[in-house]
Amino acid sequence: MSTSTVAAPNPLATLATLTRVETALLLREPAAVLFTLALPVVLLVLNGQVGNDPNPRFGGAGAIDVLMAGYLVYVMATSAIMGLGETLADYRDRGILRRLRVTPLRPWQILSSHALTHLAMTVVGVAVLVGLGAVAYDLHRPAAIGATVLALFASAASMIAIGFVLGALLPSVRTTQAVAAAIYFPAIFVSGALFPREVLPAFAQRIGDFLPMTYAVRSIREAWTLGTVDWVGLGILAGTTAVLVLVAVRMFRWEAR
Amino acid sequence: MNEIVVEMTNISKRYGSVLAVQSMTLRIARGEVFGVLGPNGAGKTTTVECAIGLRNPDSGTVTVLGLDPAKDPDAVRQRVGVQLQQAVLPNRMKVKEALAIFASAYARHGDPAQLLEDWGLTGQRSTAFGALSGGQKQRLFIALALLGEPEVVVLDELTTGLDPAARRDTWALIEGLRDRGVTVLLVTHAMDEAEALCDRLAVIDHGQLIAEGTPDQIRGEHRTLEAAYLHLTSPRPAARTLQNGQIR
Repeated sequence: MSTSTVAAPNPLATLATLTRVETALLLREPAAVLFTLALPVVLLVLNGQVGNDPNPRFGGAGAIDVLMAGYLVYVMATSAIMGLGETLADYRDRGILRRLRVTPLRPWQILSSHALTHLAMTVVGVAVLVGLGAVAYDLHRPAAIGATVLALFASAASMIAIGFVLGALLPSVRTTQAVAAAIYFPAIFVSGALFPREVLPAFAQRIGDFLPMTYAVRSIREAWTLGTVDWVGLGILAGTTAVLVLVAVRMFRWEAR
Repeated sequence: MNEIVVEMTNISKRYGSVLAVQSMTLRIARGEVFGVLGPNGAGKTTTVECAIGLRNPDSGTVTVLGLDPAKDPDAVRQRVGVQLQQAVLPNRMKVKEALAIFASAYARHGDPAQLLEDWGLTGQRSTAFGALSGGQKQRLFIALALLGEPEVVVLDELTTGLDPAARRDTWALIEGLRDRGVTVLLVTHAMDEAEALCDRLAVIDHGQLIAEGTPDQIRGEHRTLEAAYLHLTSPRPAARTLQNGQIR
C-alpha cells in the first residue's frame, strides 16, 4: 500500500469501495434478503399452477406475465422503501453519518452507494424471479426488451427515491419504520404489486391511481406483455424520482435532531 | 512561534438559548500538542468542532491550514483527521472494511496494516465493529483519524475507555505524532494526560476561555495541575483569577 499517493482519489473509485462494503453489510443481514425474496417466490410457486395461457381477464396477457410485473416491483419496493429509508435513519441516529461527515466523503457518494446497493439487490431479485418464472412457469419473453429494461430502471429509481426521502425527512429510526410500513403495506396491495389490479375493487383501484408504485407495475407490465412504452407511467415515475431526490438531498441531515 | 495552523478569532456559537461558545480566540501552531480542558458541557467539543469546520460559528472567523473550512471543507478534511467522542460505525462493518472506505476517501493515506499494528488491532482485521471491545473501538477510531496522514489531528476524549496500559501506549503514539510534526488538538478531562502530553493548554468553562498557557503556567502556584484546574473552574467567580499563564 502506498504511503504517499499524491493524486486526488477518483470519486468513482471511492463510490465503488463504499458500494462494495455496503453490499457486503446488506448480505450479512440474510433475514432482510430472504424477506425481500421469499414472499414473491412463494407467491409465484402458489400461483404458478394457473398457467400462462393468454387470458382475456388480463387483456390477453398470461397470468404469470402479469403477476411477474407486480412481483418485480414488490422486490424493488421492499428493498428500497423498507430497507433504504431505515438504513439511512439508523446511520444518522447512531452517529455513523456524523463520523463519515468529518472525512472527505461527500453526501452524494454516501447516498449513491446506498442506491447502488439496493439496485444490485433489485437486479438479483429480478434475476431470481424471472429465472424461476422462465424455467418453471412458462414465463414469456418480454415483448420489447428495451422498453422493459427502461420501465424496470425507472421503477427501481422511483422506489429508491421514496426510500431516500423517508430516510432524509423523518426524525428517527422508529418513525421511519412506522411511516415506511404505513406507506408500503397498503401500496403493495392496491398498486398491483401483489395481485393484478383487475382483481381489486374499484375503490382500491382508485386509490392506486395516486401511487407511483401503480405506474411502476403498469409500465413494466405493458412493456413486457404488449411491447408498448407507457410514456405516462414513465413520466410519472421520472417526475416522482426527480422531485423526491431533490427533496431528499435538500433535507439531508448528518445528525439527529 | 511557528506557523499558525488553527486560528479561531472571536468565535461564538449558540444552540437555542444556550451560548455554547462565547467570543473564543485560540491560535495553535504547527507541531503543537494543544490540550482543551474543561468540565462537562463547558463547550470543549463545540470549540473543536468549530475549529475544524464541522460547525459553523454564529460569529467570528476560523482558519485551518490557511483555509476557511466553511468555504473549502473538502480541502480541510483531506488534511485534518478527527476522532470524535462517541463515534460509531455499522455493527456488521469489519475493521478492514472501515479502513478501506476511509482510505478510498483520502488523496494520500498511510499503510492500514501498519496502523493496525501500531494500535494493536492486527488480530481484529476481520472482526465486525459491533464485536470489538470499547477500547478496541476507541483505538480503531484513532487509527482512522490518522489514516489520511493528517497535518492536524483532533482527538476528543482520546483515552476514555482505554485500560491503563493501552492509555500509556496511546500517549507514546501521540509523542510519535509530535515528533513527526503533526499538530494535535486534544480534548480531555484527564489532568495527567494533559500534563504528560500537551505543550499548551486552554481551560474552558461556560463557553469561555478562562486560561491559556503551558501546563507549568496553568499550574502556577498550585501543587498540581488538577488543583489549578479545580480552582479555575470553581463556581465562585472570584476564584477565576489566575496569577500565571495568560488570563482572559
